[in-house]
Amino acid sequence: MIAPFFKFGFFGEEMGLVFAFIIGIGFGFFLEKAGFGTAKKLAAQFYFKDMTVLKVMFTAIVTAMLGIYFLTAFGIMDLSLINVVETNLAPQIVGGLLLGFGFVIGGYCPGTSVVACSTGKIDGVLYVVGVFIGIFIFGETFPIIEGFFNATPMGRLLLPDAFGISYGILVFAVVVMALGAFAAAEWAEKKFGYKKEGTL
Amino acid sequence: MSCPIISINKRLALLAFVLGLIALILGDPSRATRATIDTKEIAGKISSADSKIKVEVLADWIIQGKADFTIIDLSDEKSYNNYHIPGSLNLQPSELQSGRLMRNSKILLYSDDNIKTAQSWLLLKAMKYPSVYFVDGGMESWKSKILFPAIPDSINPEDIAKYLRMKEMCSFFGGAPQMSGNAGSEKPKFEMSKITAPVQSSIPKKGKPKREGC
Repeated sequence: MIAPFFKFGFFGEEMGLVFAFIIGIGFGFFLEKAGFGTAKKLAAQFYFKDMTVLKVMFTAIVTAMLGIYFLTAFGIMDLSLINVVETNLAPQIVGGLLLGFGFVIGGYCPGTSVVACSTGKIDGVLYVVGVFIGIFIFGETFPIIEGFFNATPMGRLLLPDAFGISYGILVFAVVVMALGAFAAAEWAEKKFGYKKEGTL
Repeated sequence: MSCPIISINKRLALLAFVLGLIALILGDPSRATRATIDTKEIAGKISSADSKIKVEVLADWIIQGKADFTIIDLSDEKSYNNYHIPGSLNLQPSELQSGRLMRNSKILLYSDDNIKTAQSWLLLKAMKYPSVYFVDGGMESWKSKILFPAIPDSINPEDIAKYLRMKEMCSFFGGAPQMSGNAGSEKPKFEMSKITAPVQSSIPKKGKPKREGC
């Protein structure tokens, strides 16, 4: 069997939804276990007090990247069939900034807000309500912003293709970047972080 | 346990670094162009002829608006622009390697060159596409059986339904039946580029893949 299973037709749309549900529950569970269900913890990274978010995210990126790379190298996975959201540079920069503002102000990103909501945190619930209001406004105003939404299309763009380097070089560079980030995060936590006795 | 001084985090970091280093040496796993084929499977497919789809069957699917297949026209761009089976995408054999084609959909290949089609079929089979077929007879067959089918002047009563269906298909795709008086000897007077078919097919067009993911 070669992955991704869905693209190779090992199961249909309905089974795909069942797997999405199970994986989604697992994703939410581990976000909660990592402490991503509290806005305080998430916001602390912007003040270099608690870099858990950065560490968890980079660990996830490196684990998934190495997994996909070696599964592809061993012929167990077909990299070309992994879904890649198409790049529209200008709207995605604006969207990224918007998400960043929302993250700093509200203390959650969309995924973690659902985690917080499901554990009954009031701010999480309000955040999710806000997300849905945002989705509604986006949908209603879509005809106005459609032009910008589709601006600067670059298709399925991957870093190795964009920079003209091999996947191997990119994988190594990201690993080095992650290890550097872990070291920097540890240093920042020691310098700016909560004292061991804790004021939190 | 053997080295208690090094924390688990550091060990994991070291493992990641080593794997990263191996990746650096391996280079590009996905651009590997070597493939192995199951010769028994290929031989079986060739002799059983179950990798062919008849043009009549394909025409029927298009008319019914079926969407569980992708038709690939392997002809050059000029021929494709002149005429192509409605709903087909124009890809060159070299472009088949890009991996854009969905593996869980039925892929039907055709062109104005049946050898090119057969070679491309083998290429996709080597790339482990599970359901690849070729349109039996290619474009020539589509023209002679769907767009300009030969209909005899005198038809046996039991064949009337068959020829009516043939005429129906023909007019759906904008062709014209050739009565036996002029079929075969003359070329159809139609300009292929002017043939238009009122197709409401839901076959995905090039460049707008289905959105998925987060």
